[in-house]
Amino acid sequence: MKLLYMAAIVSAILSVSAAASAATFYFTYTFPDGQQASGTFNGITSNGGQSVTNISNLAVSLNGIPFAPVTVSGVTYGNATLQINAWNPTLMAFDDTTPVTIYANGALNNFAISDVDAAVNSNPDYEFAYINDATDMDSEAVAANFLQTDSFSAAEGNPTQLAIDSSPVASSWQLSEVPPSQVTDGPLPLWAIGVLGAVLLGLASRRLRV
Amino acid sequence: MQISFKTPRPTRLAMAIASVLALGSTHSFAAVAIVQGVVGGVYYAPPAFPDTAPAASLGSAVPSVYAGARVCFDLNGNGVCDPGEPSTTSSSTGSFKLSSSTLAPLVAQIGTSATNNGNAITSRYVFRANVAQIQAATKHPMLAATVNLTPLSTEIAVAIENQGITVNSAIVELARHIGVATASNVLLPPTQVTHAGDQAAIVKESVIAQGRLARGAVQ
Repeated sequence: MKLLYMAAIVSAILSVSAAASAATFYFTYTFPDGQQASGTFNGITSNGGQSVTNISNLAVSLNGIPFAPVTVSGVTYGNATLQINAWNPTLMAFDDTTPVTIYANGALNNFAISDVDAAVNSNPDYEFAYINDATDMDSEAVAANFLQTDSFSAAEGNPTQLAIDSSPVASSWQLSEVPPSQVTDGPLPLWAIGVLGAVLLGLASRRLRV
Repeated sequence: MQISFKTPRPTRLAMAIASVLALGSTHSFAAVAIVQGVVGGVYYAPPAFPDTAPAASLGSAVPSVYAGARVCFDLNGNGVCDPGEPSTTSSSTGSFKLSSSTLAPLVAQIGTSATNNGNAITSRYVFRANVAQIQAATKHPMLAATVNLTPLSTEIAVAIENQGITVNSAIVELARHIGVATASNVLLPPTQVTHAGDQAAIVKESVIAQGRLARGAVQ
């Protein structure tokens, strides 16, 4: 009887996870001058990746150079952990209370990924902001790594990496789910930990009865 | 809009500036600045008065963009782009983008290596924008502010500095003075002004202003 009960719990957890599945996603944003921001994150989707919530484990690169701390003369600049904030059109500011959703349709995106909490700190070391706010301002995509240079910045004489698209089009943005076989590392999703725990408990209780 | 300030990002450039030129300090407070814009003005061909009447020609002035202009954040406020100041070069369309860990006036140096609508430069110019103009154009420090550098942006900067008026007052006053119907058009490079009457007024004023701003003919 207990085994049946346990099987029902496992089945219920699995069915929930099928409706809203956790996965790793890969994105790119190509700027008009050929620069490209790309990255990965973990999230939950219930519509095949059209919209993704519960964003975590962010990683971003600009022209192949990761958003990562830089140590100069023994002093480290930049934070290793990236954060994401939603753009709040009412406040005309980034928000840390509104849950962030990343959409496959680029025209729906309103977020900034950076090494700071953009709701309280507007001075990141690296950032990728993708704003579609026709109410307050023209849409805009900005990617910058203020700790790095590359061939693009060198060609323009710019001191650091900087890409701006003041008229972003949705087709510049690509979002896709990374096939599980290509996910190399990262923590187990919560639902998987739950299932594993339930199975182990079930096995343990069976052993105790025997 | 919420704008926060903190110790500036110690970019390699900022560190180089601090250590070599002492123009900044990694311990001072500063705002981040990301700007984009166009270096624009007018291409002015003066009338010709040769000996023979058939060879005479009327003068012309058309909206133009400056390619190859050096654009910088003027950290020490001396009106020119010094070594170590964040700088870039305007593209073939006159566009530029630039960032700085320290908010400072913007300067466009237009020298002999630049072109005006593809034509060689006959006079050197310096166009400017005041810090207040950058702040007024900033929706959020993490997003790019559009600040065009033109003869009229320079006139606005001068009005702010000399008359002590606000950015909005300077814009409105300049628009009224030169007969521009939509005041915000004075912020645009003349090539981007779509209202014919406003564009004509801005071109006319730009010719006059460029004449004042010329820093000597190129030899």
